Amino acid sequence: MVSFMNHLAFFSFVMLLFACSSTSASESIYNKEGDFYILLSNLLGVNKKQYTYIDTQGNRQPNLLKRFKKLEKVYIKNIEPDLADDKFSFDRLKMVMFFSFYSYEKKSAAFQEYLAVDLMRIYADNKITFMEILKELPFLIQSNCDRLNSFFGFEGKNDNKKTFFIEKNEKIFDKYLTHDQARLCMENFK
Amino acid sequence: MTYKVIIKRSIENGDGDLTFSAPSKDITAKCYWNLHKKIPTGTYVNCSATTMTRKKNSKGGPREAVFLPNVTGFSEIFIHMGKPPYEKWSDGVL
Repeated sequence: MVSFMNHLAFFSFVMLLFACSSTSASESIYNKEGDFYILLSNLLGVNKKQYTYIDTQGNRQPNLLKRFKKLEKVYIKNIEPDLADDKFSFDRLKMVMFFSFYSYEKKSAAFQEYLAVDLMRIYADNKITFMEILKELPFLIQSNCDRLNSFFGFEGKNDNKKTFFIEKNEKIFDKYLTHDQARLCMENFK
Repeated sequence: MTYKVIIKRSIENGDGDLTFSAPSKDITAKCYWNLHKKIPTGTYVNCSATTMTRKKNSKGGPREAVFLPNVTGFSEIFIHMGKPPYEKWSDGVL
């Protein structure tokens, strides 16, 4: 009987572990998909009804600041590495690089300024992943190379580092991208 | 609180004058915007005093900023502080 109870206790413990890991995994997937949805729905402008307020005349009005704050929260969460040694997973880096695309296409001043500082550090620590993503998703090339270039001189810093960056990185772009894609990227640094 | 921000541009470059008017305070300062990402001339209502969480002010806190909604052709436009060289502190904002 004692042995049976021990087995039952062990079985319950194992099931509890499975339940915990399952919950954690589903939450992780949910949040990631939720973040992609928020960014994509902002890009497409299909979420305006979610962010509203009632004005003094009782009319419902769009609340663009609330919408920005929601998107900013997603940005701040995803701008930090999710792997050891300041590395980004493919999915997380795709989110960051999609923010570049968003800021470029929407002419979003706030996110363009955020990425002018943040993207270079992320690129420097994740060059291979970054280039693999550009190779897989070439529609991200223009916006992300534009943001990498914006690092040089923004807020009066790093103005003299561009030549060194080009010398060290041009061959990496040539290695991973087609000739035309690499030229498209490097044009941003002129 | 209701306040008014008026920006007068010079045509040749990105410099201008910003005047802030509120019941208890009036401030005038030089301002700058990127000529290639110029916010269209107009009157923008329902702006909000807020912060840009990812940017820092001189004390290391979130940078104070005024949010401008409904700027045609742009999104997430702010007015925020800058330092010399001012043109290096604007990438589409004021």
